[in-house]
Amino acid sequence: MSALSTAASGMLAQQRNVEVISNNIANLNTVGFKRQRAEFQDLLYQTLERPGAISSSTGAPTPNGVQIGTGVKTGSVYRIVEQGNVTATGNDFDLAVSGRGLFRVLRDGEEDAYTRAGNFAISADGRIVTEDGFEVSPGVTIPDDATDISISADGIIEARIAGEQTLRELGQLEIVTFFNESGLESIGDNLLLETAASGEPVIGNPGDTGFGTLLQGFIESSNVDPVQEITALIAAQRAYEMNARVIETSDEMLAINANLRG
Amino acid sequence: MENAISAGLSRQIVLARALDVTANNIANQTTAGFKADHVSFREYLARLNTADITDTDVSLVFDPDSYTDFSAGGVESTGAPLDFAISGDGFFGIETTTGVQYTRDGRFGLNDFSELVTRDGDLVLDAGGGPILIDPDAGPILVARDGELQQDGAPIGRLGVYEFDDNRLLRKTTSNLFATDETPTLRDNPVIQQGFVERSNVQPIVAMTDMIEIVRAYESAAQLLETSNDLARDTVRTLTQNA
Repeated sequence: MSALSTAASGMLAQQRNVEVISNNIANLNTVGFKRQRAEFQDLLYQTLERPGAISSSTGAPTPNGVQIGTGVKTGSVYRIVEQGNVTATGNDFDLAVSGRGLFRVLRDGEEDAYTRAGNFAISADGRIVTEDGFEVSPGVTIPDDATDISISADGIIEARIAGEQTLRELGQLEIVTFFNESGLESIGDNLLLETAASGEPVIGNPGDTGFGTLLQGFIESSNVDPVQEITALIAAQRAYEMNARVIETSDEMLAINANLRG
Repeated sequence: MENAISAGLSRQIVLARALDVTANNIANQTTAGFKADHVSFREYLARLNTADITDTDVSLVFDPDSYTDFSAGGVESTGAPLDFAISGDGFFGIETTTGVQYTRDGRFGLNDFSELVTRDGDLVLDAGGGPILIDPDAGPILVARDGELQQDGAPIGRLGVYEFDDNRLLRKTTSNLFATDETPTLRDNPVIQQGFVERSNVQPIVAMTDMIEIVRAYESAAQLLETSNDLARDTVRTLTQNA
């Protein structure tokens, strides 16, 4: 009886579903977090008789055949890259990308990572860094006597330097886009890595065609919708229960066989 | 006497298979675009004694068919711009390594060449049977209700929606795909909803009641086996006592 293993695959899939949902809920307040969705696909079918085969009793082709499915698998856990809400913070180095694009994070000696979390800070030597202290590409140094730091929508950083009449341009922030942003790999700490599925990064300035713009003093909130997640959680729990019932039922049927009196 | 046993056994075999099918439906109740399967039973009359035509036939049961219920599942809003649901009949055409297959699961994405693909990376076909290339820099993708994809007001291709005269000749492969030897026709005025996916058309309540019916019927078939066995034993006992 394949019903037992079919139902087990169903329970496993729902368990995976709950894991993904709980990770979304846990990251409800994570800056720049993109919610994920577990997506399921049916497994192979046992074809006992192909549709269109000639039935032996009447000589007519059977319209349907006999196909028995063997369960479900998690096809992918897909990252939904839609824009999260932007929240005002008033912090000079908080940046939100409105539209497409990720910040490039330079990690010492390691491959570059990408992030939507723009809650940056300034390091002891005046560089713009992420929360974990990694430099944000292309690396702009802010002099320690700079005040009124402004970052424009197209990524130009300007500041007032003591004794100068006009604002001095300190540098230009770049952002990158990918053909398939959902194909990036999460490595934790709000960082993502390039993969074969994501394609090569395309580097540009904010505001260029196909690139989003920057908002200074704002951060992008997580795009998790709690209501959606809770309803998904309820549905997953019910589906898990039903699969468990299938196991009980198969067990009951096997018990009937085992208890037949000879 | 053996007739009752073989009739009961034939019933148990088909019920066990029906449970396998129901279990697969329940396991796939959250699989997008999944279509529920059902088993149909048929009576098979076995004539035991071919010489004597007045002998009563034994009615056995077998399951010549499992059929797929192609009715539409509900649609669920996801907000993802590359999720598509077809209203009414038809399937998306997917280029797989084993030829073109068809699906109702419209959760697509882009590959690293910026082509529209399924989650397994297989190409989604346009109305002409070619891949759909999307320019990621040309702004948001909008789909007109007839399946025409547009970016920045300019058409970039049309999602193919393929129809069959007889859906029953489609067979399920895996990953929500159907394969067939039939030639499809292109649906003229398909209606495609963007940002929606078609849910599984499994109705969990119906599946649960199906399951209860199956297990009870299985029980009664087992009862039949026992009863006929008791009868045989009693007969032997009675006859030997009289002797």
